[in-house]
Amino acid sequence: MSPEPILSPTEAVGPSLEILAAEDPSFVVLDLSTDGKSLAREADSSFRERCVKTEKGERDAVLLAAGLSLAGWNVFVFAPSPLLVPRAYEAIRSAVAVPSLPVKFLLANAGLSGNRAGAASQMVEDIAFLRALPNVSIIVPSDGLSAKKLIENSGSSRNPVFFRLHSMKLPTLKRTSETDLELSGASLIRAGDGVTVCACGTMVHEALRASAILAQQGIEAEIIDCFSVKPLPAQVITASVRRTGCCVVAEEHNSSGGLGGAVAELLCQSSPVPIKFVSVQDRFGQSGGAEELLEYYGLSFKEILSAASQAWTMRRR
Amino acid sequence: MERNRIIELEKTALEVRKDVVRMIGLSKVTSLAPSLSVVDILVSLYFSTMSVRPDEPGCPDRDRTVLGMENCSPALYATLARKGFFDREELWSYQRLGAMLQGTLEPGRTPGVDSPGGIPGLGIGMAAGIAMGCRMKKSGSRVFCVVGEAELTRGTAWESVLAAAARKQGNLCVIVGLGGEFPAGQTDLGASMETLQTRFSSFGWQVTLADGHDFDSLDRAVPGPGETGPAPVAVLAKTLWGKGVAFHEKETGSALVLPDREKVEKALLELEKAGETLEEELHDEP
Repeated sequence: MSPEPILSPTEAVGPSLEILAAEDPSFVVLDLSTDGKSLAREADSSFRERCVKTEKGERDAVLLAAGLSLAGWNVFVFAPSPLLVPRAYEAIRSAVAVPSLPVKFLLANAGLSGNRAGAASQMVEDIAFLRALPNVSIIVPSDGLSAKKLIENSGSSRNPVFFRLHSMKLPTLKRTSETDLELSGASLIRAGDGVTVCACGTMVHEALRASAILAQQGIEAEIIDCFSVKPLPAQVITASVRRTGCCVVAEEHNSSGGLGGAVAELLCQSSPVPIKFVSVQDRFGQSGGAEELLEYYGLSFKEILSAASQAWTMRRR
Repeated sequence: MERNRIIELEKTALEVRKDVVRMIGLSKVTSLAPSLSVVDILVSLYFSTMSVRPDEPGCPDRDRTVLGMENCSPALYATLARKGFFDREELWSYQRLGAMLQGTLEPGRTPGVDSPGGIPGLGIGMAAGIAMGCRMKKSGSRVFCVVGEAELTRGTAWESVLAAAARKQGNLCVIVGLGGEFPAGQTDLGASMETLQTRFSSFGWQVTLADGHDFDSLDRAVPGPGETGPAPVAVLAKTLWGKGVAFHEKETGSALVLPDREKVEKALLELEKAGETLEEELHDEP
């Protein structure tokens, strides 16, 4: 049996929606792909019927999604994050989040690595925007397989859910627990008692790289895939830092308002420990390849390594 | 429409107007004029045009209304209460903390409210989504979106108008209440009836004109259940700001004028008197 091809979380959208479409008679997806592609390109006809390709404006598409949801449909919206979130924020807020309609947003090409065109097409502040909204969930999957499972699991969610999907083909991570990927959960990627590393999206992979080197230095990192940025898996994180006494948060997002902010808000109240952040240092992006950009903006295992060593020396036991 | 039927509707509208005046008189949070201007349109929809079931507000085959116009929720609430969706007692706690009746509409919180509302510029888009959803469910439901002039100058209104025509959403009807919100000469965005007629037509909509306070005229302008064609319908209804209350009819503009106790009593008295006249007319009929 040949192994399944590796998909990026953005590429995992199509296959997971096909499964949802087959299972749920009220499933419908608004496809706002901009690159001339379509979600239903290679799919079977039953999925194609439920896939509404719309090239109209993002705001109108969100209002359409709200209306479809009010008419009893289980609505998914597939759109590039840099276009949807800033343009349609008012509609997201007033028509979806305030009435808490269970619309699911699949935000493609998120983060710096999602688009090589430059700052305006790279969304480094979407989590901050969305995390401030009451009633919503925010999911940032790290690999294609977990993205696929999480999207499938969101089918029955009763509140708005935002998936922030990167588009790098990264290997499938081994999760220590075999439990299902529940929407509001977290996965333990590596157990350790030296330093807690909370990461999401692409940064989980960099954290894993860093942990090998940290282990050689005698620091065993505990890596948590915090795919649920909201609601934050508070118990998993606090239980871990109570053992390690220090924490590193790594994310492909701006330094304010993202996972780092969420973890800091949690820990400073429940178990104050030193925290170091690996994130975009309050800058917009620029043109460049995905790997180049991550390295240039200090989002690699090297920064996690040094952040972990610093947090470890300050650890509180 | 028969004269007696019209008088029945006029009587209902008068009762709704009185409730609107009482609600706003008690809550003292908004002005009477915008609500009074759309009462007749809403009464015409809920008591004549639409198929709704107050005993089963979530019934999937019901017709729906999206209220896009700002500051008009009292008119919708008073109409829904009169129709029997909830107890009229609820009206008296409008906009109080914890009240069922919020200033901005919340579906799920208030029976009979089909969509969020009172957010200028978002109504038509949501109405188009509901209309699309109903059609995809093979339901014959129609969706009515009541907007004011301001709605058409904000948000995604024209984006949604363009898209609805492209999608041939014949089960969508937008009713524009024209009058008073933008007093002539005070803004460059207010449009005349002729301009709006041309605009909607050029976007591919079927346009009808109506007197927004004449039930016969509204009945003829708003398409009936079997009359949906391929094009969405825009009903341009001439309305009067503060209709039914003389001191308000003189006012124009979207400025918030809170009625004091004296004005509320004066308004109620005037509406009572109009009711007596209607009653006489009803009995005079052979």
